[in-house]
Amino acid sequence: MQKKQPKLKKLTIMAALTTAALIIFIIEAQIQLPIPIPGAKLGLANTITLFVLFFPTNDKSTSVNLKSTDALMILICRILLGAIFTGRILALALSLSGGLLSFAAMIAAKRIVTNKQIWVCGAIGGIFHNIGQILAAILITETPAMIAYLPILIIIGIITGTLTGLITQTILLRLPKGRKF
Amino acid sequence: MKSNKFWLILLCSILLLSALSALLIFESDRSLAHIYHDGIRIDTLDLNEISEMLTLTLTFENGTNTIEAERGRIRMATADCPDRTCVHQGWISRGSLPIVCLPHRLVIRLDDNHKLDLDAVTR
Repeated sequence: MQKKQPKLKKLTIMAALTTAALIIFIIEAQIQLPIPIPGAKLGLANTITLFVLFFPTNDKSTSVNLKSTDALMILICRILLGAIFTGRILALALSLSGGLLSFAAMIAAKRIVTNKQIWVCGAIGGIFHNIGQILAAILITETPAMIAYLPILIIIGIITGTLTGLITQTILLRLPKGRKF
Repeated sequence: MKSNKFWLILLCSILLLSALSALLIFESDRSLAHIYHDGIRIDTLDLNEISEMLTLTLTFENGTNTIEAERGRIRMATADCPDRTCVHQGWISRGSLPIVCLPHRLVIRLDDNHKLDLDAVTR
């Protein structure tokens, strides 16, 4: 029984994190940015993904360590549930391709940034999220001309990504030392 | 592990490059000048294709307008209506408000080369 406890604990933690990401995602979907670019949003739900990716690992046997695959699970659950709850099923393919490409980019970026450069990882994630999104949009609508939106979406991605990265960085740096799940 | 400075420079240069290409793309995109009379499109000029000054004289039952177009911009040169608001508006180019000659029900509007119709998918 003692051995099984971390597993249950991990499931609960991941469910809680998914819920948090989902709530952020749904609230954010109601906010319309004051710029006339379709698909532009803050991407605040990405703070949860970054939080899991950069949460310090702990050696204690009773503590739960979340791996990159766990972060991916949370991300996919959030995107699927988010599409259902916001009713934007059509946008699901866009969210999914953006989310997965951005996740891959952030995993790669994680290897070359320090704990005080999470904002860089966020910016890179933001760029690739929007690249993935526009690629999916081009494939779905068969409108190659939409590539014209790429530069402006990259700019938005850098700005919003840096922002979400900074939020995560601030949270993680303020956690008490040795903090564990 | 790269320094903050490295990342800042890298991201800023991507930002600048994107801004530059965005400007170029939207500059060349808004080059179609549609001319409407009574709500019906009577002519379309691609302002990027014009190499020298182009003069267009339009005569309607209630008056005459002369439109001048150059590379990238277009204006109402003369109009024989009483207020001549359209003439005073001068040259319009990308991003400007359309020229409207109300007495003659004539409108010149700049538009994208290719209308991107994606709101239904992303909104």
